[in-house]
Amino acid sequence: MFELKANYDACEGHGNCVQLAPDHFDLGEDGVVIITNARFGDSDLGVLEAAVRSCPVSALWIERH
Amino acid sequence: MNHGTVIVGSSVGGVKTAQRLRDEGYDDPIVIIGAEEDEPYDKPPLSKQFLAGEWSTERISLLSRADAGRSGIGLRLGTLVSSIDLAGRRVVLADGERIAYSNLVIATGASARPTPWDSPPGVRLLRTLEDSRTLRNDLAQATQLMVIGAGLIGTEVAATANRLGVAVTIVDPMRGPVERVLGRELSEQLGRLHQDHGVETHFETSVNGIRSSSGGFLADLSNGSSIESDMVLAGLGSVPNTGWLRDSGLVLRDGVVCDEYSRAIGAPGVFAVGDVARWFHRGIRQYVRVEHWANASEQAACVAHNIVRKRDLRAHQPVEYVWSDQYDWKFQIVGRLTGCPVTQLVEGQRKEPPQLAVLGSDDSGRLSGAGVANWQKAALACRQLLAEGANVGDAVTAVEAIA
Repeated sequence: MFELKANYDACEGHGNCVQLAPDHFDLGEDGVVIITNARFGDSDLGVLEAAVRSCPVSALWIERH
Repeated sequence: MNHGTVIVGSSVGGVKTAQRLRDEGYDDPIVIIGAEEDEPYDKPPLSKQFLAGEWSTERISLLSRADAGRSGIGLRLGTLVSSIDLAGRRVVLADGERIAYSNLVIATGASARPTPWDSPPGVRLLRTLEDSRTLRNDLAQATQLMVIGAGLIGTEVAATANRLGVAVTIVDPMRGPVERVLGRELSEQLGRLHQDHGVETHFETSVNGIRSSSGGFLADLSNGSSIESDMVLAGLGSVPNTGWLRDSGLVLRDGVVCDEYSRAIGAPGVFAVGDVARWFHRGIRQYVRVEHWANASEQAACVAHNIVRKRDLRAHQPVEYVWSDQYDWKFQIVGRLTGCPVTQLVEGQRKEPPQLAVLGSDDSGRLSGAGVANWQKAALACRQLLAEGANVGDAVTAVEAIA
């Protein structure tokens, strides 16, 4: 079991994460990321690692539970 | 025998390729060879937060030695590769050491274009962390900065310097700043933004030469005037770092020429990533070289995939994305806005700073690019619409719906 985490202060609203994993991320009116679906399993790890790596300001990370 | 992957270049493209390889379960050896001594660092803050003295070197780190160690990524810094033996699948270092590879990733980026004039010493360029440290020191003592070239680097440095209390002058032969990337409407907005902050601008003007003066530098402009300053930054674009590949046998044409999968032409097992790569973009049916962060990051992910899944190659066909932060404005460009015969403007609710989206279409009526200011949600929407091949009318409706 994994969980998505975000540094909301660092987020600049580029939206790369939303592009790559629209089922897990969205962008708010204020341009800051919203994690819509934080917990996930092995089958989604690949896509979500790519989404985390795509962030230009390294505002996302994955915690393992 | 499997020799793993050798990555030449320790910036965004090289580091992200290594990280994505490990993410994809690649277990073979990976080594990143970088010419600079500095541990891998991110580029965007060099003209902004790092330059302003707000962020430290740690904050802009891309890959620490500790993280590299934990991921089994070898890091050879301050190391120059002098040549590639394509047939023998080895790189040759400056000291003669040979490192064998099964896959080679060329990620040596680009260098700041040098000034064409016979300048006195001290005219600055900005590309590396070392350049940014030098600029940061200069700015601490400067009173007057002359910026030659109103591209992304020039204007971002101008904004940073202005906020540090330095008087700034910008000179560029184009009609407005960053016009090639921003398009006409947003270029005008950006020009006004600088002027509103007290930056002196000279557009449709070129620099004939730079001389020394008692105060520092004297730039002679094509409009007959001469501008004195105690600091000069030239932001004249960049040149891909392919000199070291001259005798390699790789196809070079303003970058390393690759197919749609980022594989170097005629060189099995060799890929190119980022600013140094000129690859065939299947979406626009042309060879392109893109010098933006998002491209390096996406191409790195693509190359890592193609190294691990050789029988299931993925074409690198990104929707282009570039951003620029100046003063309290955020500009985001998706696709290509210049050369769009028709553009439409949509305004959002907020006025300070204003939310603006300029949508451009080509003759087919499809959305081909969008330039957005201060409106991340609209920029993201345009990116998705571009990826879907939406026509501009539908795109305008979609953006109006979130206004």
